[in-house]
Amino acid sequence: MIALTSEHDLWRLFGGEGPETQGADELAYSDFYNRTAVLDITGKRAFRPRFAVSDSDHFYLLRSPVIEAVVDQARLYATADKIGGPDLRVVYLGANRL
Amino acid sequence: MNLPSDFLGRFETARTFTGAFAEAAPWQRHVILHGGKFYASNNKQIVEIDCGVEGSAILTKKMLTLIKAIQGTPTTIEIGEWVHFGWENGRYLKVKNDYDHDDVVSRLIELLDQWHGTEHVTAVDLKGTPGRGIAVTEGPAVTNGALPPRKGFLYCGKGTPSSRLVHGDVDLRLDDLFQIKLDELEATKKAIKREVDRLADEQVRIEQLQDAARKKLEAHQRDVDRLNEALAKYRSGAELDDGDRELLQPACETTIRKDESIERRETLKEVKKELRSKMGEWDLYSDRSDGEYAYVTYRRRLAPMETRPTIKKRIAETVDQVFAPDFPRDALFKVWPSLGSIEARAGPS
Repeated sequence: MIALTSEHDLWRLFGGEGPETQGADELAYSDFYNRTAVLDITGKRAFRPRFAVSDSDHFYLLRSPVIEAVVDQARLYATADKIGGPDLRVVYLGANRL
Repeated sequence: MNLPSDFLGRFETARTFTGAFAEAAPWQRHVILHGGKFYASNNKQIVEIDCGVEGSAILTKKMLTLIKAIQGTPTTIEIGEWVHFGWENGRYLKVKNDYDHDDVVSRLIELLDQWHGTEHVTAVDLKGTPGRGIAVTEGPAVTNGALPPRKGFLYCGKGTPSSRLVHGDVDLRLDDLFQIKLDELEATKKAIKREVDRLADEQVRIEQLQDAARKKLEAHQRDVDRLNEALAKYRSGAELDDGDRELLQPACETTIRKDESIERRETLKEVKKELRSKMGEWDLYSDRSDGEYAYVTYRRRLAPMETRPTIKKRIAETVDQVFAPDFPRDALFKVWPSLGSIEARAGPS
């Protein structure tokens, strides 16, 4: 089990060599979400992301059969939430998208 | 290509003219991009707004939501199998392009070309956005020889042409009255065919009943033969068994039934006498008894129904409009499918 202590550890879930490089694994977004969420009995959803995300220098690919998006970490959860659907998958792309 | 700076703003403007889901026009929930323009309609309004991007695409509310979720302003757009928005730092959004709407766009352009700038529709205020828009207005079905849009540009709100005609709610531009008649004749034809099939089945059933009756007759003849054999035995003084005795014993069913019928009628008379005082102004319609129960039916005449004559009058008034000598029949040729297949020609000279 990978220990996540801040949003800067999220890359570890994708099996890459470091935060700057692309991850080796593509995950189902639901799986990624569940592994980075905590129980929230006060919110609309049973689970909420464990960390507030604000990093705009690292990027993710979100992919469903009809929608694909590359977003920064700060907008990862918000965008994935809007895409929705059980087929959504996520890939860690690392840094330097410029 | 670079995304024009006001593209998203104009997309949002066009979105305000989209409509809720409608079976007749499911596409109207979305904005259609085609040939450098946005098209949107909620049936009561149609707009065409310049957007500066070539290609053809369906632009959904979800696209706009996702662009806002990603944040920042996209700087490029590519339209193909996917609609691709690009941001400066490598972020992008790709959405599968479901465009298959050439016919819808043609219809919208045709309506805009036909009605925009005329007295028959209201111009839509696009608040400085380059483009054109039209909205339906209230008014008579026929105005200055034209059939202007009244209930909607593309479809009528609720029901079928037939139900709208019955309820006095037709739109002569959208509701083809003669097609209603053609459909009625087609429905009658189908009903007659079903009746022919039903009678063919009935014929088969009757033939089966005839076969069964013939077999019954043969079986009965065998009973008569057995009775004659038993009679011969009796005449010869031979010993009769139980079967012979049963065969020779008369049933007298006809007479028994006759007497039962008399008894039933008497009982029924008493029942009717008892009911007569309770039924007031109701008229006796029929009575019978099956020996176990009595069945007595009373009826009372109702006030004449008004629905049919009222509707018939309403239908006649509506249809009379298109029969009027000064009605512009040419206007119907263009919009009613039932007349579209018939070449418009001059009447007898």
